[in-house]
Amino acid sequence: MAESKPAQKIWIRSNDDKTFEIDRDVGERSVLIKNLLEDVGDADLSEENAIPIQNVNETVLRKVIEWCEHHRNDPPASQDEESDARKKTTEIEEWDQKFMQVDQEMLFEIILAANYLDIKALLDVGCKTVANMIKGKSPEEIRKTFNITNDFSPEEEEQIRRENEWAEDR
Amino acid sequence: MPARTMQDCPSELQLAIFALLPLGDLLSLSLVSKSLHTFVEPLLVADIHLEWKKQPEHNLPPVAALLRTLFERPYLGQHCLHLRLTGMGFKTQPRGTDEEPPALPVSVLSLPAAAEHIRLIEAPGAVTWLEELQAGAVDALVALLVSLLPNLVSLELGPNFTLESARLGKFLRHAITRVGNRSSWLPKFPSLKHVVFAGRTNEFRHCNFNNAADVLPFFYLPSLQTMSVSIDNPVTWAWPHSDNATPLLPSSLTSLELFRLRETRLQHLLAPLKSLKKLHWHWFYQEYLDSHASTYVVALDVMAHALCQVLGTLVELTIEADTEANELYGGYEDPDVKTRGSLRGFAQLSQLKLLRIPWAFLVGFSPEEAPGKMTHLGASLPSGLEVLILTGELLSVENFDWHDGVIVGAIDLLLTEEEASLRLPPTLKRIILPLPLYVGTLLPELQTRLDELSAQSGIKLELENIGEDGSMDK
Repeated sequence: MAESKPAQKIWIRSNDDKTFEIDRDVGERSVLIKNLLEDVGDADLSEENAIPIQNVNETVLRKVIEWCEHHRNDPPASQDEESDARKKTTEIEEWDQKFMQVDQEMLFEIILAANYLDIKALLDVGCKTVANMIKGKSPEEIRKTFNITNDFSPEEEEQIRRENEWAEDR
Repeated sequence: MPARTMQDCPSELQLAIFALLPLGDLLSLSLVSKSLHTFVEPLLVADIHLEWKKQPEHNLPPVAALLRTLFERPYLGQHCLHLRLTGMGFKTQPRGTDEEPPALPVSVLSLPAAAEHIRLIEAPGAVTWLEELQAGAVDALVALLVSLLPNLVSLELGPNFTLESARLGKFLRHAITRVGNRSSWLPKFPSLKHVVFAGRTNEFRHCNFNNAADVLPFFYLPSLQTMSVSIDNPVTWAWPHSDNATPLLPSSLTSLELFRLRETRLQHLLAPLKSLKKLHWHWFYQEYLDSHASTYVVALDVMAHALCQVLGTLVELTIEADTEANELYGGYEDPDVKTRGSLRGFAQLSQLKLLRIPWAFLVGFSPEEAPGKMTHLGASLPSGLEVLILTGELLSVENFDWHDGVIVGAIDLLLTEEEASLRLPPTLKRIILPLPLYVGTLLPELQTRLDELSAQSGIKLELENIGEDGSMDK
């Protein structure tokens, strides 16, 4: 796209004091940042006066900015977000899939950052990624994947299987 | 220290993740660890769909297993928002006739727990209810199940679950229409918006049941928005607790799909439905079924009068018509049907935009009097009508004498004769015709004539049998 005017810059600072200079429209993918910017006059925007992002460290913030830059021109989310068709789909576009190929710790950090920064689309991708890691797995495989200890006694496990019987074979 | 694992995520995030998973994965998750089990268990019951069909003897029907779980984990019931119980008939062989739903095995059910629950909700006839449960009566079990789910938003009871309904009816009358002192355990179903109560499997075999008193309490639900219900024609109509007057019902119901109830009883049902916008009525006649109210005569005046109960609100009206031979009485051919009176009262349905009706109801079974009828047809149409869909239903009735050419001729008359066309609603934009009536395609000269008439009249004439559904949601 041929844009004559250079994009307006803003500055954000991670909780470990790293300041990032980004285009305003990239930053505004985050509803939190967008709202903060509305409260700050344009004249007060400066590198020294960077917006503190208290819950997110440098590594994670860099990653989140990468996502926002790629998705800076996405159309706004549709209104009927609660429609059933959308609710159960866990399809993720290819670029996002690659983006989410990170270790599990980072994956949850991104999800938490997206939640804190209020970036709905990134949060969706994160949740779908985790959902896909659960899909089709046995309880034991889920424990392995997420490093969860089985704290059931065999009797307790049997009891739950019985309680779940109504929902099996469907 | 920031959270780094799934279980350290705040619960709303875990919920957002698990909401993306189908039931099978939620079941697996519930077996992973104690904390995940606690978290996932309410999600398992949030949206329940159980089918009950012929299955190996030793398998517990899912609905019985569900009831057992709800009694073992009493707090779970409040998390169920949607309950669908489906299944139609019990075929033993693929081509065999439907068998009746069997009794449910109740050995799995804790009767003391059930007894205690019934005591808490102060249900009338507790002892009989328990006896019915012990006997495996489906109706008693359905009533018990529903009574355990106070926060339902939608409820669907399919044909295998509606054979008998007296116990459910008693419970509903007690729960929904009871005023004054109420047990705090007695659910009021304040969120129940969508109800489906299907006609029973092989309904013609069950002339000794009448469900009208059992299903009418649903109409008192404070949030009811859509309802699909099969109502047996009662001998005399009675709303619960109304001393036979028209009750004051909540005005949230806007869409009703109705089966079996005939025009002679329709007025009573519609009178208190003060917000009804959409009615889909399945007119039905079968010999010896509800014979006190259901005859082979379609009483058009009575029908029009009944529909005028909702003239101020009704926007969309679909009337489907069907008949069935009654094999119990040796019937093999569709019974005869004839119309009496006229639909002139329809003209008063001032809000109606879409009308879907059998050609035979509007114009008659025989073309004999067609010229006179076409001249006055416009006077029977609602004054603001935009779309008129005429269907070829009941064409297998013996005295149905129409064929494609005569229908086109009648439409020709309707649109070209000055007296006839002047009576048509000025708002009418489309007429969908039941053509071709039988298999095949419409003769080219008839199609050409229809195209000419469309162009001259400004009313689009379309054919029913080319995938037009006439839906207004465009």
